[in-house]
Amino acid sequence: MSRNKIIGAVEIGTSKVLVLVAELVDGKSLNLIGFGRKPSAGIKKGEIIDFKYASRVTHAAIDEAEKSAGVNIDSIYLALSGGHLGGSFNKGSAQVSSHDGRVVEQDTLRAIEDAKSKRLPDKRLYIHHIRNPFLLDKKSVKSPIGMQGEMLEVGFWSVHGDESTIGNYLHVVNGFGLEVDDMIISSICSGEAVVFPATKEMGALVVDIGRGTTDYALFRNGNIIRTGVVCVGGDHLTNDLSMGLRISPKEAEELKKREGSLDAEKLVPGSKAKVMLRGDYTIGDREIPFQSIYKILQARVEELFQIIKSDLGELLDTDDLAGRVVLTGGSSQLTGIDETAARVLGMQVEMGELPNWVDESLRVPGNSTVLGLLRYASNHHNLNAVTSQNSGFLGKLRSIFKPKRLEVA
Amino acid sequence: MARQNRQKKKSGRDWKSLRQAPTRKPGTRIAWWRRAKIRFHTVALCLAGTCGFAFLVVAVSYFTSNPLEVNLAGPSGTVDVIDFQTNGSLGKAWAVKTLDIPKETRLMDLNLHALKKRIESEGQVSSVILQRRYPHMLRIKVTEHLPILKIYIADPELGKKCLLVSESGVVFEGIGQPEQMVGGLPILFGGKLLKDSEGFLPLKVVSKIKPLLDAARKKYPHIFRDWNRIRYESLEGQDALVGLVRINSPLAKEVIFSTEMDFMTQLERLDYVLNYSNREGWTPLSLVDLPGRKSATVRLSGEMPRTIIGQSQLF
Repeated sequence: MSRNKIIGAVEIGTSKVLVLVAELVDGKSLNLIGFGRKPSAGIKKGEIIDFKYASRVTHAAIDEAEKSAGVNIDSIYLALSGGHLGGSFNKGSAQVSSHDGRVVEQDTLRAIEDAKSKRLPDKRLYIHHIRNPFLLDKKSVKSPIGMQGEMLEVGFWSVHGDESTIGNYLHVVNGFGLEVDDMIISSICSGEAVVFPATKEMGALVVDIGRGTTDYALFRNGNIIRTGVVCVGGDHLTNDLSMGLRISPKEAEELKKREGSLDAEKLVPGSKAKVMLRGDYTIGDREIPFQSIYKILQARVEELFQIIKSDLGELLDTDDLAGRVVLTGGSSQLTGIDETAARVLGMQVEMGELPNWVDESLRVPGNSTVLGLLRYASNHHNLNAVTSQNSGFLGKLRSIFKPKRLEVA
Repeated sequence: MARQNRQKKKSGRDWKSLRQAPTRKPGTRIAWWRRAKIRFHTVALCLAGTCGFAFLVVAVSYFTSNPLEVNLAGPSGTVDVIDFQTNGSLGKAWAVKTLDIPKETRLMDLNLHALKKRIESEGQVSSVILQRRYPHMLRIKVTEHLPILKIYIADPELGKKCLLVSESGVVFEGIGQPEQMVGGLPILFGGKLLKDSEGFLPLKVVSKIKPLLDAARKKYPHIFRDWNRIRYESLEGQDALVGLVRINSPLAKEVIFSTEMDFMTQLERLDYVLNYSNREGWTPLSLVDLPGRKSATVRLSGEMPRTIIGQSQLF
């Protein structure tokens, strides 16, 4: 019997709350049917600072999306970001137990159990355990079962976050009468949207520059090996311009959008090129040296990429990473940011492109997280559908006659 | 399972361990409206479902007890069979004669409307249903007027004739009525019998005496059985409500009822008077005048009228 599920992808960001509604037909195809967007309130650097305002804008966005779709959402997938997110790489190992030295399922489970056994400090909760490839006698293998070896190792990149912050996000959605089916960190979502599988195999660093935070995820051999959040975003650029040029934050935001550029070609040494503050030649409008804007923005953006480079350390070794840096997010639209990224990170940089199945009006870098979230949700739903087939009497009966499926990570 | 639990316990808590309560109090007005809308739709859906189910139950029970007669058209042949059904005395021979359907007429070629008119032109017929039953049968279902009285007329066209009267006042000839039944019907006098181009008009007077006849037939059949003449006299003109009903029977040459008084009370009085008179050997009585205020007046044959006081002061 066919069953169409209505899923909602929600991103509660610092600048906006985005909601996409999609119809999942028979767990296979995804139809985008609704969209809601509201300017954010009560959120700072990816964390809720005013529950009431955050609830109000989130509910308004979900309501708008439901109305545009003409249906009620069944379940919510939520993108998570913020400085509270952290991660740790946990390794586990197990001796191959069979007498002939071939790896069996029990060995993989023991290695996984060992890797996941690391406890978190109080008030921290795991969000994802992202499995890296198995190592059999230090050699990377995709599926070790049946292979010969002595020592099996596996590593997990485990993302965790603050319990109360995560709880706040859940309660905002619960307050609308919906339950959060899954929670995915923003960098993984953006990676789903803008990086092709082939690029992930080659290795790629996805950097999603938002308004309050910058999320990144490092892919190698098709796996996510590291994620992170830097609490620097478009707001910091605005703030720097406001402070540096002694203008209001509103004027700084408009100036950044209109004249903000990191394009070095525009900057001739000793140039006295000037731009107008507001551009409307009204009272209070004045000339500002372009060089000042450039320098302020350049300093902050360089700092941002330096932090990412520093966080990733040896993982960013370009010998291992044949791929490229993919920039996305609303603040990645700053002219010349790709050149700065390439210079600091020492890698080829490209701007993320959203897939063709997305409507033209939605194909903007600021929507990459929520679109990737939806894509993740559809894949995840399929996995759930497979596992749920084995529940219940009929499912158990079916599982008796089916070969067992190894589920790791 | 135990291993999975142990693994979970060892590996620390994940976000799914947090309790979600989406059914709690809505967080904002938008959420409140949404919940109210969903609840309203749910209730409306339940009501519609219940109504639909109830309708289905009623419809099924109705059609089970009153199965629809489905006439399926099939090949049409000549009219070979006439299936005649009636609640009265008309017979199939009368129907065949009245309809006069030519031989070799095909069932499909019958003009049912004209045939219906032909049957209904007979005053004894109240209504008729004609049905084609393919391939060869014409079904006729007749509902007749049933006689409760008879009248004698002397018409310039018809001559002297006995006609029957139904409880709705319809006057008809009484085709096929058993003689014994016709002989036992009381004769109606009084009232004006009118005629138009289609025949006699219903007798209005019947509606005034019908309650008396119904009550007598139901409660006092032994008295009703003996009534042989009934006359209605209007006191204030033809259409007045108040009138007298005069009845002749072997036990009392004349019994007077009034439409102004409850017929059942008057019948009780008559029953008492007749019983009393029988015991006393006074029958046949000359006159019983029932509609007195507290009493009935009785006149014995060849004597002065006297008043009989009932045991229960009923009169």
